[in-house]
Amino acid sequence: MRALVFSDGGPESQAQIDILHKVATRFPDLDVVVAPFDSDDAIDAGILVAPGLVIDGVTLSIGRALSAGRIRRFIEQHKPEDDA
Amino acid sequence: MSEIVYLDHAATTPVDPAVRDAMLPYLGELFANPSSIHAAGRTVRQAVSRARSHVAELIAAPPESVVFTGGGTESDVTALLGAAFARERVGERGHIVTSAFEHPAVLECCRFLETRGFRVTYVRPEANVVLSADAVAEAMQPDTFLVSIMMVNNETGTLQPIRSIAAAAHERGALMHTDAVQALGKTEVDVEDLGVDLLSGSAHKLYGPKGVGVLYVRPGVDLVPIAPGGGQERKRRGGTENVPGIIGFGEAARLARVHFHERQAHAQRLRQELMRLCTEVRSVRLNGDAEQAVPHIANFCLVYVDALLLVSNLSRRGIFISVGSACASGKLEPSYVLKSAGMSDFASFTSARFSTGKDNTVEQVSRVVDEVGELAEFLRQIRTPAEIGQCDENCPCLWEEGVA
Repeated sequence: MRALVFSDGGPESQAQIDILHKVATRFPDLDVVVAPFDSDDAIDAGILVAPGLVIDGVTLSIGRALSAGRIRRFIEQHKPEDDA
Repeated sequence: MSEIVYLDHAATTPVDPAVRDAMLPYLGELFANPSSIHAAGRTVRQAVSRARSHVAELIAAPPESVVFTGGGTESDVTALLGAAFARERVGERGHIVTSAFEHPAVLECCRFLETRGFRVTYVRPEANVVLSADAVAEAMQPDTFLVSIMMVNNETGTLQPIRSIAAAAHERGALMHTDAVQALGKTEVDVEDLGVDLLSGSAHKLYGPKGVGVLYVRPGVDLVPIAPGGGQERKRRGGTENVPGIIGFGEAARLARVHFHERQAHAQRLRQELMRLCTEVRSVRLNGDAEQAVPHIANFCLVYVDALLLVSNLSRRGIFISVGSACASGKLEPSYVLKSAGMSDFASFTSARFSTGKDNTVEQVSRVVDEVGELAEFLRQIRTPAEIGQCDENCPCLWEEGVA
């Protein structure tokens, strides 16, 4: 799975990145990618404010960090069948 | 991506192919300046006159009262500043009445005029996002010289009681301006019946091009031109005319008039389908007023659904809608329109606008309702009530139903 974090370098963005890295220790297949919040990818995802979080094409958060628990729940529900 | 479903017609509409075809010669061989006295110029001037007549017919006004501008915002600015500067010219200031949910074009003009010594009262609507004509009348003062109230609210589609407000304004000797940008082609607009002195409109909301608008100015109304320039538009708005844009506006206005009833009936059918959101998706409520509204705009509060996430994820599925919340200085701000009607920030962050158009089908809207329902359930699992916030007890909608 690919988690794309759109960051403006601020504390809330950093918090989201830290949370994702922590979640990734439990889900080794989670690939965490950080991109600027004003990039074309961010515009495509409708991210107007940082942080933004998109996992496997689903926008999960705009403008605030999503908790580890919520991310874990999403991953568990959306893991590919063969990984489940 | 699946088939695109564009439900953001209140933001802008696609240019009708017939409008584009009408414009093309004026981007080519018919390029002359309509102010030129040679034959090429006269040909273009006649075409501009025909376009003016079409726009005038759409609002039941005489063609000579139609001023073409660069868009709805410029029309609003010309009306408000023009009327205020006319007061200044005779050494007076005075009082303006407007609403708290006007388009920023009007609100920013009012704030600017306040810095020049004018006084402004911003009247708040009722909980259904409709102004009380009595409340507007009560806000008028002995030196009120201008009342500016939008005809259709752009975020909720609610229709405002312009006729009653105009009558009250005239009783007190004030001018009546209405921003009818969301009304033209969508509901009957007759400047005589409404009793307005100034009316703003825009081409791109009715399948015309962007960058061209209209300001109706009742004959005899004193307005100081904001851009005097070369005296075009009967000295109301200087500058060489945007001829292709004006021709496009004229054709769009003509088509809006010819197809008015058919488009209205279609918009009603689409609205009926869209309203399934309220009955088939859990905890969804219409913001605004179910009856006193244009059929093509509907704004819904989806309890505990982060509307920005809804817009973003629908966009990835090829469905385009919008939210009233805005991004300001890197922070999300609630919709000032919904707030003005007493709704909480929570209601604003969970509200989304759907605006249909003539080319949408019932099947498309049906698909949107189904996908919104599915996404709403998913997004309710992403954010907890604690994270997204709570409706406060003053919020007019949700508290009554006890869902938040």
